[in-house]
Amino acid sequence: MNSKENCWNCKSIVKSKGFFCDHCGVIQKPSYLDEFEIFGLKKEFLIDLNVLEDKYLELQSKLHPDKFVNSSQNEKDFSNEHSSRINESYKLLKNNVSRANIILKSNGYDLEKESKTFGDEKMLEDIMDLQSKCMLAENEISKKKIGNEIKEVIDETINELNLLFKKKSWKEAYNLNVKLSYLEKMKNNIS
Amino acid sequence: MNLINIEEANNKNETDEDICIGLDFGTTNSVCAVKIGKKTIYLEDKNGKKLIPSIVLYDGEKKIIGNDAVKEKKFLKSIFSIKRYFNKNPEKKVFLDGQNINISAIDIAKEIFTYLKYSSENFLKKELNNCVLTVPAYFDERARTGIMKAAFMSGLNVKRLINEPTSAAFAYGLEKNKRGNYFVYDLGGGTFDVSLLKLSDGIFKVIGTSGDPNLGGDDFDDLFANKLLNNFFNLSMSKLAEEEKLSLIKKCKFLKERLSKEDEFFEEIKVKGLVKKIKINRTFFNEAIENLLDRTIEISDNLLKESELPVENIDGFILVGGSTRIKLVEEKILKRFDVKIFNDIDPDLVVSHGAALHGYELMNGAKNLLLDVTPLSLGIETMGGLMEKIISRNTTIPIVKEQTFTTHENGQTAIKITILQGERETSKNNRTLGKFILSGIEPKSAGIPRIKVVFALDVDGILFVSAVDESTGEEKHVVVKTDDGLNIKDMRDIVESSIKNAKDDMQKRMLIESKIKAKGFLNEIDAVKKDIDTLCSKKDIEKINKFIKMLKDELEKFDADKINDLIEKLNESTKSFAQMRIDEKFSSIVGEKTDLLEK
Ligand SMILES: Nc1ncnc2c1ncn2[C@@H]1O[C@H](COP(=O)(O)OP(=O)(O)O)[C@@H](O)[C@H]1O
Ligand SMILES: [Mg+2]
Ligand SMILES: [Zn+2]
Repeated sequence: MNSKENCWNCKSIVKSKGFFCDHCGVIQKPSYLDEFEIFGLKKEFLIDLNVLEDKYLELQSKLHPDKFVNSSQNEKDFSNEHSSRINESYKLLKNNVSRANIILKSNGYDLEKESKTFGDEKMLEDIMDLQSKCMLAENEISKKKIGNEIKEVIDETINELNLLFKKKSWKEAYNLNVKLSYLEKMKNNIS
Repeated sequence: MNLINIEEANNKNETDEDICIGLDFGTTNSVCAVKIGKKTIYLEDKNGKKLIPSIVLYDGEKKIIGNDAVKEKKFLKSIFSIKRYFNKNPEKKVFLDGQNINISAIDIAKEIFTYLKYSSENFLKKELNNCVLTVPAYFDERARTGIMKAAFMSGLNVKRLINEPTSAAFAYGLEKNKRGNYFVYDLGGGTFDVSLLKLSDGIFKVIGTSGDPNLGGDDFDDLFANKLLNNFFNLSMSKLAEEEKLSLIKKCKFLKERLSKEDEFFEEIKVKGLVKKIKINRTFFNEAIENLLDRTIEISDNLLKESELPVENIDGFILVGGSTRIKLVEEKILKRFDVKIFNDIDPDLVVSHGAALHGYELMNGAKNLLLDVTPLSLGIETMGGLMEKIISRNTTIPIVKEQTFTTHENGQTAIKITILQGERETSKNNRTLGKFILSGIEPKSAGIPRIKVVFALDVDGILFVSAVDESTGEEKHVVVKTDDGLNIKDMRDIVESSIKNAKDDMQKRMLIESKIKAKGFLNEIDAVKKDIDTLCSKKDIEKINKFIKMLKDELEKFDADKINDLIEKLNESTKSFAQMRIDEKFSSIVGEKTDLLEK
């Protein structure tokens, strides 16, 4: 993957992970980069979302198909591929659960493949408990209250998850991420 | 002595090829604008009008379009609101032209585009080939493709499709320097769109979009007419003859528009020979349409909730579309949201204005980034008739998603994939965009093959689907598209090369039309080539192949007559085959066992 490649346009040698040729400035065929690499970020669970957004807009400003309306078909296609990948990666990195999942996946744990069951009883109980509170909430005030409670639990879970990632405890992190995905869903349903 | 006109030479730094008009093809009216140099101008027809009614009156061989049709005695026989049909089936030939030939919504829209192009060229005294075309944000993929196709057929090269509310926000951002979170409320003649945008320096990002593609001024006219008829004549609409019904509705449109300036007035209304002088007032009208306006408020509210942006963080509502002149619209918005309202760019013109600005940017290097979203979720039908989402609504485009499928029976060699768009759980409640069959899968035990399907939505919101059998590597690019199987990329190529190579406008259009027809026909034949090879005699196959080859060669050239001639010949040579197919009553074009896919 790290081997040198040639620019399709001027044939000079380009860095394999660049978006443009250093020599002629022409857009390059997308080479495979993972979501973090695209934005030049370290593969860590906690990222600065402002940095992510700035980087996202910077890349789109250069690579979006609107910049290539009058270019060759090759350039149009490359721009479309880059821009699509950037949109998709941005969406995945913005969200806690899918961001955690990317890291877990690269370490052999795939949220989509594993069955979404809870690793331990305690976790299941916590979720069921919140779930029934949600069901009982009838008016705006009690909904708001339970909504805030869920938000607090989410924050705690994120902190815990961060520690697990630091310790490289993938299995535990995987289980906790399943919990987080349920919490996020609950939060969306109640608001 | 000859004087050299220096001014003209200086003005020539913009060649005709660089100009790109913004075209707002509306349900009621169409508007064209263009930015040349530093100035944005609206293009007027020969009557000096900027708003061009989107109507076509077929009178024998004649087609009368726009403001000319309004002046005609036979005006009520015109085809109105053709844009509304793009939500149904734009390809279906359910209309009649002046010579009783069946035509589709696309054919009619094509006439309007041709007219708009022609009258804009007359106004500017320049040839115009490029446009940025606007569409309602909530239009689905099929409606988008249909509109784009109609524009292509008129000889316009559609450089970009953009959403109407986004276009309006672009105009406000650039002309009025708006920065912050803005909510666009766009109520036109046939459609209702809302979009929430974040406007910052050099970046215009759509956060979310929603709407109703079947709610607009036309519906208010109907409701108003209904109520008048009910209250003052004790009649229902079904009791009126078609012509009288239409004329009453058109009258109500006029009364409705007058009510935005006057609170009340008297009007003589004649129904079934009975003339009554009726006091028309705003309250009466408001009652007729209130339910629909409440719906627009609910849709707006839901979008705000979904985006998790508190109303306090909204810097303003931008009003777009002629129907926002109805007084009650503003009242309802203020009552529910208590926000600042902006309508200082003419709500009829602002969409085309934004499109013109974007067109200019596309041709001269885009300085402002426009990031838009897809309005509807896209997915596939799974077993049991459910929809599985692949790309969810409000995802920024362009976007690519991959999904891997497998077979669920031993030895299965083909998979059928049905592509859906919409938000409902069951597939039958969503829009079917198209079906495609991936054949040639190596026969293996159930669950073993891995078929990777790629769903790509481009910046115009047009879908491209391709699939690869990861074990054999067979790739089949299938574009979910019109019934003749011609995709937007092919069409754009045809239009671009025809523009370059045709002598005049007429020739250009003929070339485009015959090439589109030829390409579509070749694709159709390609899909049944296997059957042709098994069913037809050797002599027939040779003949068919010869004409296919000749037609393909001719498609590289620019002679419309020769292309048409070959289409005719190819059609003739495949007639016996078509008959055989009907006789055999083929159940599927592949003739192989196909099954619903299983994940
Ligand atoms: N003063 C007005 N009061 C109420 N409705 C109006 C007024 N002016 C125009 N309209 C309505 O606005 C609609 C046309 O708006 P427009 O933005 O041109 O729609 P579209 O883009 O769908 O063609 C028509 O239904 C028309 O009756
Ligand atoms: Mg409009
Ligand atoms: Zn180069």
